[in-house]
Amino acid sequence: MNREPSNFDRDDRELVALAQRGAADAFGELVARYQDRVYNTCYRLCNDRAEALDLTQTTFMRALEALPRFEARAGFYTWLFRIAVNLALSERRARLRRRTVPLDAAADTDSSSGRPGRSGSANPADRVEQRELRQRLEAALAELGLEFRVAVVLRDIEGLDYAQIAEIIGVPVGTVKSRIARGRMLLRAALVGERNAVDTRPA
Amino acid sequence: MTPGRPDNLAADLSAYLDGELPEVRAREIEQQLADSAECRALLAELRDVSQALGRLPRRRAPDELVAALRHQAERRHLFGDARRPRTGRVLRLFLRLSAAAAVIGGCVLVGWHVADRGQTRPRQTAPRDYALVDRPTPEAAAPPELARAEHDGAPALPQKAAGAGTLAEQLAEAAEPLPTDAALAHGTVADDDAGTAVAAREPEPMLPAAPAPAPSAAPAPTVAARTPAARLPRVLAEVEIYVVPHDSSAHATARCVLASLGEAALSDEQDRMGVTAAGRERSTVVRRAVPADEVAAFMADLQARLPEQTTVTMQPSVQAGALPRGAPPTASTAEAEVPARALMAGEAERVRADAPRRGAGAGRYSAHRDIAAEDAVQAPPTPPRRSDAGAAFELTWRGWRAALQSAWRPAVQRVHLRIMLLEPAAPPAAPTPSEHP
Repeated sequence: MNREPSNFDRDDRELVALAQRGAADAFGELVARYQDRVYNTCYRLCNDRAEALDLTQTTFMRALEALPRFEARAGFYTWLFRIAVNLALSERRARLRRRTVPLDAAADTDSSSGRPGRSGSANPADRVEQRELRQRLEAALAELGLEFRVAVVLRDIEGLDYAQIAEIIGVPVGTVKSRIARGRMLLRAALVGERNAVDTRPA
Repeated sequence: MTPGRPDNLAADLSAYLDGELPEVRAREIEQQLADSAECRALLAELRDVSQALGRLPRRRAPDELVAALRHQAERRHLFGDARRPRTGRVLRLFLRLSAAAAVIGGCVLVGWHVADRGQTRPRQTAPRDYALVDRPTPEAAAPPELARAEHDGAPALPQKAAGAGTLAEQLAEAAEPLPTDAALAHGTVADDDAGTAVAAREPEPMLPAAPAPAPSAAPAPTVAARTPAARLPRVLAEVEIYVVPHDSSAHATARCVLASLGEAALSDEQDRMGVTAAGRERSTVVRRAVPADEVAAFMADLQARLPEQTTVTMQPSVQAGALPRGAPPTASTAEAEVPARALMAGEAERVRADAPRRGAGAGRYSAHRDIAAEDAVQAPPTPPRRSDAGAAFELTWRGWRAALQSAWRPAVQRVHLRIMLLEPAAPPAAPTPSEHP
């Protein structure tokens, strides 16, 4: 898959401008740049391969459709993640409607996410075996309420700052701050087994 | 945890970790951290969680997703807004199907090559190409029927292909039930006899009754002389077809893909024949899974879109599971390099025998050597080893049909038929008549 070499050097803004003028290879380059990150994020958000595939593709499809209206006010990838997160949230809402037992209602309380650690002795600082930690972390992340999960994934996995996350989720920065904190506390509780440490509420 | 509500403290510690606290508050937190071991412990745990999340393995977009995304971007570019709803629907189906069809590997992949820039070439056929790009002919709507032609009968060839539809007719053989083992034997002859065997097969009654190609419609095989010094022709497009056996489990999937893509997929070809709507030269690889009984229709459609004098090379290779007993159907590389029309008309075909790809690295594809000279000295190929599970080997471009019709069929997972369309020979350089026998 040869592309024009110059595309590799172009920054997002140039590529977006080119793509908006109809250059398929410019959009292709944008896709190539972000497909892994978007997919990984989608995977972490929904914890399901097939769903992540669908989400990622729909994200880029929406992006392609909305590209003419995209204004470079925010970064391209912020915009892209915003699409992905909104899709994930609306997908979750649709799922809630289909089910009688809501998932997030339970997850938003401490009951479903503050699962005690199995060993009870493990402190994150003590480093339980690395792989076990990872598995437990992944499981705990998957059980986190989606709002918290989105914030934590964007912050700790994607490395975005609070302002970008606020832009993506469409909430104030203060909300981002409290969601990240709460998400981390819930994860900590899941790993450590200290359920009393998670009695925090979003501000 | 000292002052303030605990959740506020946790939020501030978390934000402090991220460097997101206002300066004043950050100093306050630092003071608290200095004063309180509990605070320090909490901060350390939050940091551990944060860092552990950051160390979670990153998942790369799977190949089928990458292919679908690429397809999506390209199609959208080609078809514009008018196709939007269909595109989305088709692509989602496409994605699901190609995920399901991972067995046949890259079931429908579309990549694109940007042609090497700066090189200009005479394009006598350019107006025609543009016409094709700009407004797909009504006949372009025909392929769905073609694609659905049942394999128990010869596919109904479009009228426009009647004059030069012989390739399609030849390929239709693949769709025919194998009449006898004797016919198969034709496909299993040694490679240096392949041309003869092929010639012997042509008049067989299983060919659909169709008008013989008029010589006028099929110019003489002006195979451009490929002396080592000759300028290499540029590849305009490559069409890679994965031919799926009738009884393969992938058959139904491939059929679904074809049906769902329908005429849009087939009419893609014309957009990819070297010229985009924007008029930029480019080379394109189109990969598609085609059920064996639909290859003929596919090829007929493709053929009708080829610019005249486009040179075609075909490079079939077969991927098979555990090989059955019995002689392999001509395990060798074949290469036919003739003007498209001539090839389509079933005229001259040059076949190069070569060792199987697995044999000592031989058999690498080489499009531009003077292959005719080598034919004479080429040793008969060694057949692939029987024990090779998942063996990939190459056949003459007719041999793959034999493979699909023979006792080998259960083992054949797919045939990879690679068709390269080379740029037409430049008019000033008069093509040297080939030394083709």
